[in-house]
Amino acid sequence: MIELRNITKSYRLDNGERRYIFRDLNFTFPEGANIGLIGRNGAGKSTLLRIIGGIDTPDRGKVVTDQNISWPVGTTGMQGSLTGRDIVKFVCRVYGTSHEEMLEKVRFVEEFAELGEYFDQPIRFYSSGMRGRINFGTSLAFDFDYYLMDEVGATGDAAFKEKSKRILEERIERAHVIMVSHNMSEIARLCNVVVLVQDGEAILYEDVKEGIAAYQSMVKKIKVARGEKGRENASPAQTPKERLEERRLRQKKRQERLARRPQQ
Amino acid sequence: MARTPWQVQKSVIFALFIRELRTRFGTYKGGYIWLLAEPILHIAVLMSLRSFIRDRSMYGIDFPVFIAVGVIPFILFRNITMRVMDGVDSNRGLFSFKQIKPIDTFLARALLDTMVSLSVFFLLLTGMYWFGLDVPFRDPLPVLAIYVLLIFGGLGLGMIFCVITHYLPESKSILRLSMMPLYLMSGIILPIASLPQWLLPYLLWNPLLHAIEIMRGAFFVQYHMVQGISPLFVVMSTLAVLAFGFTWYWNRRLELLAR
Repeated sequence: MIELRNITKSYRLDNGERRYIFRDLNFTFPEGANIGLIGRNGAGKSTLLRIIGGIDTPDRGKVVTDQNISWPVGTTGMQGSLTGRDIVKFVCRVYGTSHEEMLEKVRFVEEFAELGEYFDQPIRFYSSGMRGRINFGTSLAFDFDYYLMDEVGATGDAAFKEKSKRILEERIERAHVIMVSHNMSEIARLCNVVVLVQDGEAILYEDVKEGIAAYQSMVKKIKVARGEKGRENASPAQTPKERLEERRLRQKKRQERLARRPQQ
Repeated sequence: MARTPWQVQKSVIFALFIRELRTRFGTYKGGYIWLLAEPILHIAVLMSLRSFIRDRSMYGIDFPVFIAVGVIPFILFRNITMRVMDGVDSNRGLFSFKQIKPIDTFLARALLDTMVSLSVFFLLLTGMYWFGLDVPFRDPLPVLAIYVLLIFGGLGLGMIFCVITHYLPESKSILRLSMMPLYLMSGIILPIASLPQWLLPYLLWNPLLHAIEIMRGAFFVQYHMVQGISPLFVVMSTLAVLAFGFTWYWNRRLELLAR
């Protein structure tokens, strides 16, 4: 059970104005579901995720839960002079694991990340992909009831992506995720329900497709109100990044077609 | 699975402590040697000024010992203050673990600096004794008490600086520089007794001066503490700084974390 009770959260802007993200928000997350948080930028999805995870404190109200919730997957507070092994050990110590458990988790991450000798090198020598492997692996080394994921795209090369996808899907069989993503296909693939965060409200959609549709029509409405013409082909919910990805995909397909032609 | 808050905090401070240790001198083995470098260098530089001070009021106290006894505790106080000031900024990434709070980074840092300082103190004085200098470790109780007070004073002042620099990031360099006049006014180099008498009433407002004087008095029989040195003043000002620093931090702790 994860329940939000009278959550009020505001930020003070630099000009002294106070902006409310949520006012007396009450919400109960459905039991045993993988939850996708969707909404426009700045709607409060990430803030909500951080409040659920106990990292951000609401001005008023509280989160009531008996579940074991992860830290946001993909962050381990890395520091340049530490090695990958140090990072895993650090997180183990924070969670107060026994020595045997620590060794086991270190071994898990070492095998998962496949960094070879780099596992014992300071992180400042790592590429961003290698950092992603350690971060993701460390999260998976711990057993949580809920994994919080804020825009965690699978990082790394194709083989690693495939592997992380597989392990994540395996894990979801006994645990759950609460994820923030603008990638609707990812939401549709991993989640059973979606929560649309909008104007300080959280609206539950038991049907993922329906939720995504509601979000997309909302975005469309805003665009129409602004007098923007939506491009016919692109779905309005796309972020620039997704649009770029789609364009890359089209280019790749075209190149593949071109490559195939002479052989025929 | 459920751990008590105290168990959680204990493991967090331990984790942070090891992490600080690793980041500060971890990557190459020789890192630990540099710990001794600062106070030794300090003493060496001051030794070169020795002839200038020599016959003023040393009462046959060995000068390197005199300096070491003052400078090592001062460095501890300064290091704790500065590291606690930077504690939130340089550990930002870590606060995505709900178990880790800024106070834990403060305590871990203070703990590490304390251990470093105590080892340096011990090693250096033993070394001096071994080289034939007179190291009269006369009265351990005040030494210990001053150490404890400096640690808590540094923590308190560090927390105050931490909150100030959160709202005024530009003040960081000024606060860093402010340690220099404090150093000069705390009687680290010159015995306070050798300064002009009319200055004394003003200088006595500095609790650190009291602390260093008491420290020296606890070591050397021949050392005459200046009139007006009060252990109570050190205790009270430490408590005041600590209480103020902690309450201010506690009231602002959520804002410190907000980016």
